[in-house]
Amino acid sequence: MNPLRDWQKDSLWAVLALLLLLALPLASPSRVVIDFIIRLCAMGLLATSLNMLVGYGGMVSFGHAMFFGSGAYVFALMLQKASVSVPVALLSAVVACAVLAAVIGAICVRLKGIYFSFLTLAFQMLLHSIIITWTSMTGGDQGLTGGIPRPVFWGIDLAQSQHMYVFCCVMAVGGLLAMRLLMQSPFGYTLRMLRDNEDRAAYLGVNVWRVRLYAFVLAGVFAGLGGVVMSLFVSGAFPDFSYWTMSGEAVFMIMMGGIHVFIGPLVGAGLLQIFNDTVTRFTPYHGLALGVVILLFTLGFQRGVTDIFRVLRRPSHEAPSAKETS
Amino acid sequence: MLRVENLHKSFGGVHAIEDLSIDFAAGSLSAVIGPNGAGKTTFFNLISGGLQPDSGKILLDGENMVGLSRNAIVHKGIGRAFQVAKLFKSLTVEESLRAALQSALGRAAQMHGNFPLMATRDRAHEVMAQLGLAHKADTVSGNLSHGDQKLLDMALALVLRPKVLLLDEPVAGMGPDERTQMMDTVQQLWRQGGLTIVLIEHDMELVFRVAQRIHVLSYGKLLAQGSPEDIRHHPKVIEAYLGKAVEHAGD
Repeated sequence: MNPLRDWQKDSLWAVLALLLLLALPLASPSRVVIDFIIRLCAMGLLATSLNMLVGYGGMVSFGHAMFFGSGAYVFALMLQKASVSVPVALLSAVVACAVLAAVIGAICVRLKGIYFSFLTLAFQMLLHSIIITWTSMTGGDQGLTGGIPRPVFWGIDLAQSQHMYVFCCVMAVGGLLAMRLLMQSPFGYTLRMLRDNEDRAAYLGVNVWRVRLYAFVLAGVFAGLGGVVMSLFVSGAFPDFSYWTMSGEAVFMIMMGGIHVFIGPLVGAGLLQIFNDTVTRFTPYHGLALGVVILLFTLGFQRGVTDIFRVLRRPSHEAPSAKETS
Repeated sequence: MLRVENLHKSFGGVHAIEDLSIDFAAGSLSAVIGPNGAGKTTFFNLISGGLQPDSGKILLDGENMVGLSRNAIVHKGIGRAFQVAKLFKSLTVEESLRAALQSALGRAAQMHGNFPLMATRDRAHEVMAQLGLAHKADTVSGNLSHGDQKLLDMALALVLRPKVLLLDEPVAGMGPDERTQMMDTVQQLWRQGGLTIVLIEHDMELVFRVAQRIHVLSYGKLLAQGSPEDIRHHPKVIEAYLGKAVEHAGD
């Protein structure tokens, strides 16, 4: 109940996680591990930001990757075509995602349930079509190739892999901490009210549309940050980043990790990545194997693997509390 | 205080509320009764902004509420509890009340600081004590008994300090003891003063016991209104709703 203590506790966890991540290359300098962590940073931001909508707000977006793709494209284009500095490119990506999310969200958040889900999917496909057809700007279906320049800023040289690793880790941990603090703020609990009973929240004076729109914009911004990390990792941007399959993957990550625990989606992102990396080495029927795993998770861990901690604490017939689900 | 004038609402060809005018005096405890389908809940939905009337006025202290959204009407001072409790099932009793209060403080979208806000503590504790929910403060709403869920539903409306409290069948689904207890709580709230309570209820014994004034609806129209004694012996009300038994019980 002590606000300062809660805030400090989350920040301390974030600092510890960051220190651990920064120490990891010293323990295991393997390129595979470093690449895994950077991809996890990108996908973790995407999945956790989606869970702000799904797990906390009860808004199942099927088109969340449109912001991931937008962040990647805007960041890469600003560096490649406008030759701006990295911080300016980063800020441009964030602002672009916020504006895009505000415009699309203003329309989508008026709808509920499956109507909301499919409208977000429709907007995503529209954006994907624009990326594919606007070849002169985006490179079309080939993607934005040729690499992105990484001018040195504040002594940070993203062309060096160690610098890039640190930068990506800081972005991811900072983004996750910001999302965590947001979800523990009064706003985060208003969002839970809307998830549990939107009607009742309105009868208690909550402006439902406004709160849902704020959540949609924030989630879009953090997904965009994930896109920036991915863009740095692949040194470009590709239409697949904003395709529906990417949104689907983010939903799988949430399902695997669990929507009721804050780090659930991050855990899910890690599990899915390990699974993808492993299975593709052994079988060409990657999709089939993935389908079986998802089925098993859906049947066995209906609330994701992280829900095991909640079940151990409370009998399953009792409803989980927001504290347990945060 | 609360006054509706020539209110009209129809769904297709069905007139759910027809030319309805009622005046609820400040600080009164009134009941709206009538057979199923009389338009009672529709009437509450119109007052609380869940539905918009086709015509007519809803005046709170002289200000017209028609056209305002549900959340704006709450901020004007009309609180509501529901026939089937509408709760936040993953929040505890205290969290629910404090989350509701932060909205009343205009801080529902505040993105800094931790939940719950200190400014919401005293009022939440006061209402929990008032309604006998203090010992359930840390219970998750979804795990409460039916009676406690109804109490929490009322507490959510009450915590915002409304001028008018609308209670839609507050004792629905409760056992005899719980019913009496709930009605005693409602009466206690009213006796503390400052609150205008309007309730819909089917339990005539309780209605006649607590209400100062009763308004009877039938097919969306006002059939009769007056004191419990007037209503008990009103021929039209006996014919349309109460039947002979209640009249004799009263005698």
